[in-house]
Amino acid sequence: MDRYARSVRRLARAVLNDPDDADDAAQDTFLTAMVKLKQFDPQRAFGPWLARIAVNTATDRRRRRAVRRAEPLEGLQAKGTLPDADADRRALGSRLRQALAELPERRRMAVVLFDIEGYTHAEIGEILGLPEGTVRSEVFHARRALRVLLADWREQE
Amino acid sequence: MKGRSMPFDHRPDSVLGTALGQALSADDHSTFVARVMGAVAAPHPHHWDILACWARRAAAAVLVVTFAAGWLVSAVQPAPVDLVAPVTDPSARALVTPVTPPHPSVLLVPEGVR
Repeated sequence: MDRYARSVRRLARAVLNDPDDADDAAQDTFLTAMVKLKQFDPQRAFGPWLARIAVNTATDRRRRRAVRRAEPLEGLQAKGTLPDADADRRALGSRLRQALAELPERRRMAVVLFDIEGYTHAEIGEILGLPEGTVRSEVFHARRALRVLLADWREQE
Repeated sequence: MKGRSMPFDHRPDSVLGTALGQALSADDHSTFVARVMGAVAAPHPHHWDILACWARRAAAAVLVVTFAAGWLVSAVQPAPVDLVAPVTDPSARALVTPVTPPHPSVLLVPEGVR
């Protein structure tokens, strides 16, 4: 579990903006995976199987609960006035989380699974239940939005 | 970042991936792992116990709804209506409530003659 916990938490955070909700969803993911472990086909990779459970668990959780509005991001107001690199990193993280939250869900999940978790387009298609071409398109559009933000940030540094 | 390959790239973008990974990662990894291990070790109620609990509630709800529906139906049902209107005309009464078959003259004799 130690090996997959970081990845599952990141996926849950990509779906749910609230970190506590995301950790609850990540925990539920592992509990669900334990219950469904007999259904896992050992011929296939474990990571995408677990990622699919994580995405479904977090999405279900978000649907069940009223969507809580994200806390105002201090980084947006404080940009450029933060004293050190760590504060800058946190501010950039806040901006990226906000930018991610503004993306449509499957676009957000596609870019997280591809650029952070390193899954292939085909694997992401299996995880999200989308055709591979759609995954490519979603990653493309998500990257375009996020790269603009990241480039602006670096130019202002 | 600028001047790099197309965003429609088949390879993961390490710069974007690292930035996003840092944005989404949590610091308290070991705390989380301990929490999940604790949840896994905690005793969970058997599925049948949960279903039995639901079944008891469902049965009670069905009983209440059935009783309420029966009560409503009986309360709303109108009193039986006498479909035969009171008859005053003797010839009509002879047709509607005959004890013995009426004489044909009841039908054949004109109204004013009777």
